[in-house]
Amino acid sequence: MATSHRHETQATSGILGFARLPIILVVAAMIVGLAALLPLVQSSGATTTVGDITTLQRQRDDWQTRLEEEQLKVAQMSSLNAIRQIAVERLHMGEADDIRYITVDAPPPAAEDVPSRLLPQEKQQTGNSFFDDIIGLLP
Amino acid sequence: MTAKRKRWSNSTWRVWAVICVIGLGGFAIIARLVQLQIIDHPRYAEAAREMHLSQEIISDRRGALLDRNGYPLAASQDAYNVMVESKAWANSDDARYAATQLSTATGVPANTMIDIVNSVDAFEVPVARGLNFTQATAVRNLELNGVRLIDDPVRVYPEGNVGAQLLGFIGHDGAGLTGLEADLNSVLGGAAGSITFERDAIGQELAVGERSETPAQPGANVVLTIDRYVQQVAEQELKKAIDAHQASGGSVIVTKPQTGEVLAIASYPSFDLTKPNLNDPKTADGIRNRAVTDAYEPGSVFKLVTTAAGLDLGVVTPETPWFDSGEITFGNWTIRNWDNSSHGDETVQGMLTKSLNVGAAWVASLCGPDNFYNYIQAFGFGAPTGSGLSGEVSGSIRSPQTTPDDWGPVDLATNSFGQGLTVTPIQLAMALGAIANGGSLMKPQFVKEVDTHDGPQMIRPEVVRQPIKPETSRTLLDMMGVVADGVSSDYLSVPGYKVGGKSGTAQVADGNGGYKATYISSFAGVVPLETPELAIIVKVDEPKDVPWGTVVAAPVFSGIAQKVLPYLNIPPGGKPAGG
Repeated sequence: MATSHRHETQATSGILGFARLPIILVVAAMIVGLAALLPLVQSSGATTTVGDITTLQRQRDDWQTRLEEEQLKVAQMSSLNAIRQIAVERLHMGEADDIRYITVDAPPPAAEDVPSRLLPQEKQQTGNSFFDDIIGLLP
Repeated sequence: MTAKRKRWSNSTWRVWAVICVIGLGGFAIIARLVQLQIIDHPRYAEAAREMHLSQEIISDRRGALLDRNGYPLAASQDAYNVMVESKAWANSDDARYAATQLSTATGVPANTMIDIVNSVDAFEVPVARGLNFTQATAVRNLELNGVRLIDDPVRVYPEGNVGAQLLGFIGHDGAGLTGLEADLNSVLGGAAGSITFERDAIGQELAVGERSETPAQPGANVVLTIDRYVQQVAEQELKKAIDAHQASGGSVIVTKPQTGEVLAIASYPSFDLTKPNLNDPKTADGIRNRAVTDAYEPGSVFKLVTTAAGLDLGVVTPETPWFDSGEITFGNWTIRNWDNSSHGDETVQGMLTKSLNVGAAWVASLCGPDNFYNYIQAFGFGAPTGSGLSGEVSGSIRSPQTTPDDWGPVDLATNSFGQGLTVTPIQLAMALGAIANGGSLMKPQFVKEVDTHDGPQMIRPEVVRQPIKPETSRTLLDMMGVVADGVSSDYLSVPGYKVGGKSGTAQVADGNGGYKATYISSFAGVVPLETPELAIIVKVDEPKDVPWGTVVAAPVFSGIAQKVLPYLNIPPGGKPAGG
């Protein structure tokens, strides 16, 4: 009985082994094949990331350039010539024909105190509470 | 048996011969491999790296030159050139299509661009230059084959030609050529960086290849002591005087005597800073910053130095009497007053007010040659001021100590009223500042602050030395006030303010020991007289109508002071202490 069982087991494992080997080989081949594709996937991901970084860097540079252009525009608009042009053409201002200098002998007015209602409110000083006194006694 | 052995012997020899040849060949190959792979490995590895790697030099933005209040006087703006590969436009239809597209983005006519490409035999041709960012973005978005953009930053001057000689300009390579652009090039230019990357067969960067970057350092912004408004006023007033008197040129320097800060330094002729044409001789002449590069005989303005020496040594006071006979003799030479007049009983104050040459020579003789020239040197004459501006000259001072063979007693006399020696306007401005600030000779300061990526670096005022005592300074200022009071208000008037000053009218040396029939008119003044906040030097070269410094140069001082004092909020009497 025991001998017969051993033969059955051997036959079964033999049949299973031979039957599974091609499948195992195919699966192994597929795994190896897929593993070979892994660097490609990684490379593709890296390429995409590099592309994103480049795009973002370009956007940052573009914004920086735009900012600097605007700063220069502000500088040009606040130049003396631009101010003079606006004063003359838009505001119709001109050089004074007769400049008169007035000397004021009176001393400048004394600086007035700021009204108290405009000053920040001071915290009302209250006496120490009972618990403050107790805490104060602690070493 | 013998024949068989012989045959075997022959075949064995051949086999061994073949084995030896193969063995030697194999050994040679192995030896060569050892040489390539082991001995010369580093060299070939480096060569291979160089073949696969490309390096690109990158530079960051050039720093700006700002006025003392932060307004840019010179700044860099990104600009772009459109480059076209000639091969890409070989086909006329392709060229026409691309040029039409580019034309809408750049504003350059399509035909012009096609003509440019066809007329130049080069791999790549620039068809449009100086595009702004918006235009460049439009070109980039077209994605045309064989078309690319390259950075070509331009220098812009928001205030136009204000301070042209001081600022200077840069070349096509972005390096400063003249003025502060050249003198501060290492600060403004920053440091170049580089990108090293792995490339493919046609030189394109590999997305996942080796890459290293050394970032470029941007140039530092430099805050000058110059005030754009004061500078513009100085230039306008100088130009007005030059036009009015048909003068050949001139210079103006406005300083803060307490610190030596230069608020304005103007010279004429000038040049177009925005488009300098170096082929034009007039441009070359205008580039020169005459206030530091041109030495001249200062004339009677120099009597301030002579008087300062006399007062400081204690040999004279403003009230010291002397007799003006109209001439004084030194060896075989006779010195006379500018108008050949004699004034009889006079004082030292009278000498300065009436600008009497005989009196100045008398004061110098009281000082003695050694003392007199020591004071001249102590005031900074005969040596560069240390302004840091390129092209600054020392001027020429002959003295018994330095040039004993080329000096005579008469030189003491002529030098006392500013002839026979040469100075620069910047030297005179600093000496005037010393008289105005209590006797401290300051180093002229043009740079207030340098803003590097490590933070701002403040430049502190620097005292060179103390040529005169504070009480001498005060006395001389009061004397200058008396001198200014004697000048007609038609020429010297700053309503509400007390002014001190001294004019000068000097003949122009001809270079052969004689003098031309032309003059340099000058004025050195301070305001407010009580506590001077401004010291101004005006020099006008060769006016055609009248030569007098009072008539030609003093009105320039007045014009500047009238406009600048209210602008700087300087009250009459000067700013209160601590204000």
